[in-house]
Amino acid sequence: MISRYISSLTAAIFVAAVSLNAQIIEKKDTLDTSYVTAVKEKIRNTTQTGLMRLDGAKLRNTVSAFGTPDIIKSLQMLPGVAAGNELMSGLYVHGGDGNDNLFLLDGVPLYNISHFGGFFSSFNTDMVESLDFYKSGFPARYGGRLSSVVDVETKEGDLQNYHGSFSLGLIDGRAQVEGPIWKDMTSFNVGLRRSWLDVITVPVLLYVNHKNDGNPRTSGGYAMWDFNARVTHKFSKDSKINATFYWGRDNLRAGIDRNETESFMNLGIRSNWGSMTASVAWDAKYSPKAHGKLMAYYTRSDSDVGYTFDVGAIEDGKQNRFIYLDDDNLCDVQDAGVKYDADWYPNSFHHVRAGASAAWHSYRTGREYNQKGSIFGPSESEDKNSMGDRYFAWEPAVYMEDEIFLAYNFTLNAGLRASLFGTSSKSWASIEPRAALKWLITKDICAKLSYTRMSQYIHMVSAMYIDLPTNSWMPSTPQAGPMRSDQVAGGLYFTPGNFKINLEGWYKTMDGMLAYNGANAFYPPLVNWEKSFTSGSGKSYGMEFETTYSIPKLEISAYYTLCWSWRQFDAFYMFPFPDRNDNRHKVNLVGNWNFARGWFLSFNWNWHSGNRITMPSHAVRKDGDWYDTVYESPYNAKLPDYHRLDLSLDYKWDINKDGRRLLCFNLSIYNVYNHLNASFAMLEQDENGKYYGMAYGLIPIIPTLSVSYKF
Amino acid sequence: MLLLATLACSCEFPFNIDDISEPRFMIECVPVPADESFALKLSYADPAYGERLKELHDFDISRLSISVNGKELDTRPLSWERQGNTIRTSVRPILQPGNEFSVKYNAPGLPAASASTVIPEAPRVSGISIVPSDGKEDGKARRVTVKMARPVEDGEYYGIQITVREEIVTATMESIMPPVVKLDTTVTEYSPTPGQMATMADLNNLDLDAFASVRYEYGKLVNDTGDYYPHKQITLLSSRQFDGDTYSFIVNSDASFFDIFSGMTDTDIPDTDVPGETPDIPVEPGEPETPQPVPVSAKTWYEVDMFRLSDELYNYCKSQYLMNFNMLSNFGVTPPNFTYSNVLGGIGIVGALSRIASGPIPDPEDTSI
Repeated sequence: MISRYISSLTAAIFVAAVSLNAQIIEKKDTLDTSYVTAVKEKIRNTTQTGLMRLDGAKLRNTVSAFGTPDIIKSLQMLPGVAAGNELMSGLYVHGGDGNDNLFLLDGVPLYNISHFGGFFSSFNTDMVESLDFYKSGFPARYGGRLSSVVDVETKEGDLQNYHGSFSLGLIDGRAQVEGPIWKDMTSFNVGLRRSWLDVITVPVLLYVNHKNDGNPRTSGGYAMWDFNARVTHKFSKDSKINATFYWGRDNLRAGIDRNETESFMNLGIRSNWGSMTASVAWDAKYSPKAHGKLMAYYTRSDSDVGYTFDVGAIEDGKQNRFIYLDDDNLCDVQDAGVKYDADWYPNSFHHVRAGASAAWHSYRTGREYNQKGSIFGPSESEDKNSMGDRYFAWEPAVYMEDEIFLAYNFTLNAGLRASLFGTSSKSWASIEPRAALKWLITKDICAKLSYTRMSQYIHMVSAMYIDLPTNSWMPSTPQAGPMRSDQVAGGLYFTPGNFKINLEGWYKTMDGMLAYNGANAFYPPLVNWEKSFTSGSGKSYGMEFETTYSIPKLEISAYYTLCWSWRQFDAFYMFPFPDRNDNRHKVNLVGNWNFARGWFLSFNWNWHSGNRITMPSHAVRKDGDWYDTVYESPYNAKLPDYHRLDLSLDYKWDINKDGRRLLCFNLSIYNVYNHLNASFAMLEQDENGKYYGMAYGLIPIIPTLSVSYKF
Repeated sequence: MLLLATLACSCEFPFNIDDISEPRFMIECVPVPADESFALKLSYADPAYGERLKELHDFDISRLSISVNGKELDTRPLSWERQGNTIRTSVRPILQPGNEFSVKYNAPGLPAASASTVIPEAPRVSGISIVPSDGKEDGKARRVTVKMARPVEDGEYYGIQITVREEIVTATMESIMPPVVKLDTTVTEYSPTPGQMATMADLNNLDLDAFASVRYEYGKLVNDTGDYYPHKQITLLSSRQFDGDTYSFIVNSDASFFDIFSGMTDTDIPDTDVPGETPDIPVEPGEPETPQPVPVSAKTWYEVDMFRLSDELYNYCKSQYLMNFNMLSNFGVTPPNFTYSNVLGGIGIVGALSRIASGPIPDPEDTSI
């Protein structure tokens, strides 16, 4: 009797918990209404820590530096994320290294996520449907990077009507068009973005060359562009296929040709880099309880950085070439893979997800070199060389996770991911447990706890912390094995009335991290590269506070992060030292206000403790007034605190008053009060021999006007 | 244009370095095994920022502890020499490979500074050969091949120092004089050299270890590694320079008799490197009262010293070398690989080395002038 009573009570609690969860999810979820997606949302919102979901509309309304909304810049505002150098696309999540984030574009890994050294991200926000950003509590279906997952989904085209937009910003223009190919069955969505800086540089250079009578002749220019396309075909209500394509390039070139009566000199510098992804995915709902997605993809990032230098004398009308150098450094990374993901609801208390993937990786580094000229020997002799290596790797992975609705309002997401990474020299296996537990304390309060282990088998080979085309990805080697991280996160989450309040903490350790241990260089070493790197570990812990007040025409969020981030590289220093992005405090205020019909005001105020730099810290007095300066430890000094206010004012003119055709004007002001934040610092000495730090600020106020037409 | 606009708007402003407010104690010591003396340097390092102390710090040697395998040595007999806020002495404990050598100083009001190192085994070299280089180098290019007793593994660090010696016999009009000059000639080139792209030994491989070198003289490191005195420097080697058990490189000594005379400075004259030899001060060309010596023959030989460095010493030496290349560190865009210290609570280095010397190796092609 008692046992029957207990089981009935337990069952009632289960049902109540499930329905309560479902209600809450329903309240929060205003996005996709399909059954599967709703359940997906339910999983995301019930147990995972460290997840933020941003929809495309919100991303497009964020304040932007050059009139172009930028996904990475939006993520930089979030708690737990450090931005690194100003205006760059750095994403240092929970003490991460910036090259440990998994970027997925429609499920396809994207290796190069920015244009022009990191000033702009590769994601065209006009195409973006939604973005899931995980900082902790990674579900088992994600793997391969240590610190975060940025899962970007592009929009499916409208099956009924044609829509689109054309935009013109300070430095680029964008176009996006979507619509049906076959009504109710097949749709397309394409987006194109291109910078137009070269449109300005061409007439300027023409003028300069005209003034010089063409000698010397200067040439140069920069252009970046990307193209996204998505075609969707629905076989039935429960089955559809999506084909996606992305192509993004950057091209930078500069040159000077000088021809005198007795000599000539030509110098040309060129750089071309970019990414391409393509995928085909078939989504099918086999039954109300089962859903699957089969996908095949290809992704590639490559770069070619080179120069030509040609100098010589002209004697009796004949060229005597002293030096001719032609040098190209090439690198690329390519993946081809298949993956299958399945959802299954065996009963009301379980939601099982399982999947398998296999990826084939190819990494190439190469150099093509041609040298001739009289200083190297007889002028006709030529030293032509092409060298390089291609490395292959194979990475199968399987995962399984189960969302289990336990008693007393507890929900557990337990998962396991197993992966293998095989190269010609060595193979590594990894078992990664993932677990997240949620306790729904009251209708508006819940607590969460998660543990995740992540592995990363590839390394960014870079001599600098800048997103340069000379950087390349390389697989693990016996000397530079995979990186691993373990992270525990937990928090309390409140949703009283129009408020959302989150308080979350984390503790994360990272092993097998690599750092370049050579001289300053734009070209990182590519042969035996791992021997120029040293391995170390990292540790990060802290807490994040987030509160959002939201009513129909106003949303204001405040974020605060308290963070400690440490590194230990024995080759640099025998003891732990702070990470360069150890921004102890970070505050962000973000708001959007629809203050009148068609008028929108957005703002973002960002303040954080300064980045850390390494400066001579102490001075040893010698005889008289002579001093030797010494460094106590790496990253021993802190730049002045960083703060900046950005504003964005939008006016949307509804041309026909029916919401179908809009002309939108946007005025964005980056760094409104023109606070020049320290980009770097030097050690200076005054007339009395006293040392002091001198900081240099570079980025001033940047006002931008952009206009777009939407239909 | 954007770049120009940005640069036009840039500004500079002084700021306080809040984090650095306490002095630190500094220890520098490179112990060596066997019956050799080595330097121990202790310093007070004051914060570089803010007001400077006018008074010198006091050293209390009773607060110094030097120990070998945990057994403390008596520091009272040591005699110290002072320069500003630095004192130095020469110590001579008899150390064996595997001994742990520790130094600790507990300055009043400061964190105790301590560091230790383990004396490495001497490098085991099975053979050294020097043959004429078959390359296109100018001058007297020789390929030096050092073969170790076993393959060098990752995490083993070595150093090499080559001394090229020339005995030049000069003559006046009347008679052949005995050798008057016995000099360390300048090793002008190690190969591959930086910027020697034609050989393309590596792909973009800024093989800094191949060029990283530090000065080590008379039992102490000299920190002015920016100066280029190859014949007095240890070139650092890690496993990446070895091909298994072999390290091979080209040393090019093209210094001729007249180069030696014309380019000589005080630092070129060996102090007491060759027992029993006191180098004569070379005769300045052009002095009217002295008959001009004419070189009639020259004999060249090489001396190769191989070092085994402890991890700490290798990291320290490399970081000291990389300090010359840290132009971009202030931008925060490069790794902090030039600040090595293994002194807990302080600054500096306690790192050991062991040395083995080859003795004179004659040049395979002695030249007569």
